[in-house]
Amino acid sequence: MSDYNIDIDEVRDYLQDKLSSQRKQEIDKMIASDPEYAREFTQQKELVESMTVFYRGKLKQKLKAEDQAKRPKQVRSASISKRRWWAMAASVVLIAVSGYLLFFSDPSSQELFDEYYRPYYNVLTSGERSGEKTEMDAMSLYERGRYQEAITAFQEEIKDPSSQTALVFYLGLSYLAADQPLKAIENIEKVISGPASVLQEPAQWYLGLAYLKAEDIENAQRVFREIQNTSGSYQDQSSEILDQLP
Amino acid sequence: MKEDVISGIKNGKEQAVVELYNTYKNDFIRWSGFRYQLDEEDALDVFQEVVISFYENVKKGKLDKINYQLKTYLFAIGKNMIINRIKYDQRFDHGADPTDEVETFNLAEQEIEVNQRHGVIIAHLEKMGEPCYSILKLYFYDSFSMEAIANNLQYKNANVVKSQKLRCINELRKRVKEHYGPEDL
Repeated sequence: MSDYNIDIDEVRDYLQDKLSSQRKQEIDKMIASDPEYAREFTQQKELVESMTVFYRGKLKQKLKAEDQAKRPKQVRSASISKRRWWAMAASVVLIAVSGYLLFFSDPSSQELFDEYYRPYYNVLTSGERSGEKTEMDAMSLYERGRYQEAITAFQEEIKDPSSQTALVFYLGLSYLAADQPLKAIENIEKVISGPASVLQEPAQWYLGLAYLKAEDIENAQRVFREIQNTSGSYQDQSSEILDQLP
Repeated sequence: MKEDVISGIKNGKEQAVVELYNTYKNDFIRWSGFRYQLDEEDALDVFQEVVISFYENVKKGKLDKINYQLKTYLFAIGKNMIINRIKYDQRFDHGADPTDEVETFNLAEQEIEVNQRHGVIIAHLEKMGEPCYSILKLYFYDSFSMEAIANNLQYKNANVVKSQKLRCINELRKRVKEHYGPEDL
């Protein structure tokens, strides 16, 4: 990989049109005439492009979170009203079960889900644009937040779940976003038990969230404990959730 | 507001772009709904892309000065994006010319190969914690100089940042290489 020692900073400048036209021509000439140079240049270019896609995705998540910020508040206030209703009912029938009220002072699994759930961005990006309409539409619909339609499109596209784990992953996420956690669990588990892939780590995180959404606290705790015992990117968030679960 | 937003973004205040988004998004939803019958979700999705495009152009130094109202500029980008999106959808709704399909398929084959690798790199980027997350972002996405990164992240000087950036890139390469095996990357 380092035969040419292509400078990644120069690749960044090449992609951002910051090189002199002379230097750019030299590079283009090397790419055209030397396959080994072209191969190494492409690898560096993929690193730079991936960083753009990654950080752009993070910014997009941040903007989406601005829109979603209103939703948890609504859910929260509904949950609070529910709690108050229970407290009133309890006082009316004079059942002073302090432990019971204490239980309700913990955030509900739905509240925790709302707090921690963010849609996973599309790491396949235009890679899914294979020219096949349904697959392209499915990812596009997923990205646009039209989850119910995305589910139908993914179902049409997935012929062999064992070899199309990326699409099964996004099908599971679409179910989760469309308030169908049991189907989300079913699909996300297929990704986890399937061949090793970079999507397994996020899959495990979303599996935990799906159990939260399904109010299956026991399994949620089991999954978040497994994540907590790894050194992955969801370790801290899993610990936070475990601290708040009853 | 225009100058504040641009200087805020240039100085690494991502919150400036969030405020910009919140300021105009409702107007954009109304305007695109009336003009192009976009539903709210699609309008928000387009407007997020608009704001990101604005952010990236400011970062690249392409928008030091805008001669019109910020809102006019953003809606003009939005209009182009909506038209492109409509054309893109129509292309598949009405069926493409078979010759085009072959061409698209061949091009797409290359894209798939490239983008699967992008997906792998992105998944490894996701796992990288600080300081790599911030250094790589400021350098490769925000186009900051080493001096500006040192200032922003309170490093002693640009050379320290440069060494740290190299370590981060090497670590990322190592992880991707382990994923593919030595022959592939």
